[in-house]
Amino acid sequence: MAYTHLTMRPALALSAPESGPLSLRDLDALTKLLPAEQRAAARWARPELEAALRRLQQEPLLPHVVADATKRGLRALANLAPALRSLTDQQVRMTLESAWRDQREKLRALLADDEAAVDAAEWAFRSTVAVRDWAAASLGARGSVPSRMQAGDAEDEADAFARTEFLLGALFDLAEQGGDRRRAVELAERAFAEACRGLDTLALGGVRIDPFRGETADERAHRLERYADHLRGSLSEEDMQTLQQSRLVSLR
Amino acid sequence: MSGLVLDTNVVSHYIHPRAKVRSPRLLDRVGKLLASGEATLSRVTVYELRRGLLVDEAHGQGQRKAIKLELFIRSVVVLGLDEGGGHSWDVAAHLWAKTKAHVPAITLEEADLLIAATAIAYGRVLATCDGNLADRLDDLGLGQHVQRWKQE
Repeated sequence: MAYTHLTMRPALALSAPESGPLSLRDLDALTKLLPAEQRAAARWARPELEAALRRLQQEPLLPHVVADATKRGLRALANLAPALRSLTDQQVRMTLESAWRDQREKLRALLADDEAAVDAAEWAFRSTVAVRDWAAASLGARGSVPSRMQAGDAEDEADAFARTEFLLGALFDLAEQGGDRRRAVELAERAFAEACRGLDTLALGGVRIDPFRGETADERAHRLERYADHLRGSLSEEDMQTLQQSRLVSLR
Repeated sequence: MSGLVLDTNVVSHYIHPRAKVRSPRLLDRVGKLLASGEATLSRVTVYELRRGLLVDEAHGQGQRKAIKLELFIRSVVVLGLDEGGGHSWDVAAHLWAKTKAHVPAITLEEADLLIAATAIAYGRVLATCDGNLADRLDDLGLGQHVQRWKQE
């Protein structure tokens, strides 16, 4: 059902150019690629996007707050969508990838002692890129902007990727400003959880997406070892006992 | 047969907070095998790990542990029971019947039964540190489907 839902309504988050900008910095980078006459739309969208991201940076990340901020962000991007369609998927992707490399370093600086949060953010980011690529290849994502985008039922499972993207946008801007570390961790982990939710929804429909497709065997081995280290570092002897007691002995 | 399914006890040793001291060889071996996709986990193991750590989360704690577990789980190959028309379940049913028909009857815990069935259904070998489980699978004539591993 989830897959049908997505194919019937390619969500904003599943369409390439419309979902491009994550942070204000990304928006600015993409705006520079636009023809001069289309940059006005970006200038109009920026304050609205900024307000949406600020809400995610400052208010408790309750489900309705995340959903409302996502709706607001989606509305801002809706005004921008026609202009962004003049960009190719490749332009959007390269801009975001390049921005990500820089943002990752800033995140590392902000979360110096919390590599797991940086990894969670990277995982969420890679998920959105992989889903965008999948959508562009299989759903014809460059079609018309969905009408529901304006209404924006951002609490819908299918919009998990939209929430992921705006949470990441808020995180990247926070890192850019050298903002609150605890909130950065919260945003990273929430973005990761939303990305997982989105990928699980797709998987229920038979679509399995690997956020790290294309990485080499060595890169994969190092990443896995890092993740295992994060896990080991957070578990106690007591946790191991709990795990032992949680073994499935009987289905009765 | 090619490839492994790691028993939950192997994964527990691998993620143990003192694994680098307690099980350095296992740690190195498992890391390489998981990264290459040669070693996989059963969905049952994932279920056991998740439910163990979700106890804390249900008490409003431990979200960070749960996220770290998810990062790990979502980066390895997990084999389910339902794929292929639920073939692993069918294998599990046959395996259970086999334990009952054996004289004397053999008892397998449900997790062991389902994880072993997953390995057999996918044409893989179960890697376990549980010598008793390996013995019982041997007794059932399934010795080719099990590898005995040491914790070290």
